[in-house]
Amino acid sequence: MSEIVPVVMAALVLSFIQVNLRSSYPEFAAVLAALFTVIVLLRVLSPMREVIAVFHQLGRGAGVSVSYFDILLRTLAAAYITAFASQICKDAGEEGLAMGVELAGKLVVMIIALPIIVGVVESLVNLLP
Amino acid sequence: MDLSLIYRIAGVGILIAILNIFLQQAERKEQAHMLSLAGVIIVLIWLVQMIARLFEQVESVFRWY
Repeated sequence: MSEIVPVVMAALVLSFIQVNLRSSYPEFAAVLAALFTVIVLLRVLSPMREVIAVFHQLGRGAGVSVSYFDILLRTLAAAYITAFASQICKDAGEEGLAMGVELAGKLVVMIIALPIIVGVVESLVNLLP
Repeated sequence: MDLSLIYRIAGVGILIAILNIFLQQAERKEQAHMLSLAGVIIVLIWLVQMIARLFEQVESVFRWY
C-alpha cells in the first residue's frame, strides 16, 4: 500500500497544478508532465528488477533456455520505452510524433523477436511429413 | 534526488513568473518572452538528464546491453 500512495497523491496534485499551468505557461506544463512520468518510471524500475530475477530463476528451473528469456526481456524493455515516449508526445499534443515512435517501437520488437519466429517456423516444418 | 529536481523546477518556474511580471511592467515584452524561453530550456536540460538516467536504468534492469 505504501508504494502506490505517494505516486497517486503526486499525480492528483500535479493534475490540478497542470490545469492552472496550461493556461499561463503551456511549455512548463508539458515538461512537468514528462518529468512526472520519468520519476514514476524510475521508482517502478527497482521492484521490477526483483520480479525479473524471480522469473529468471523460474525459467532456469523449468529448463527454458536463457536466450528466449533474454529476448522476452528485450521486447519488454522496447515496449516500455516506446509507450513512455509515445505517451509524452501525446501529452504535448503531437499525435504524429507518437505514431512515429510507436511504429519504430513495433519494428524494433519485430527485429528482436525474429529468432523466435524463425525457430517456430522451422519446428513446424520439421513436424510436417 | 527525484523530489529535489521537482522543487528546483518549481523554483525556476516561480522565479520566471515573478521576473516576467516585472518585465511586463517595464514594457519590455521581448525580454519577458526571452526569459521564459530561457527558463524552459533550463528545465528541458534537466529533463533530458533525467531521461538519460532512466534509459541507463532500463538497460541495466532488462539486461539489454
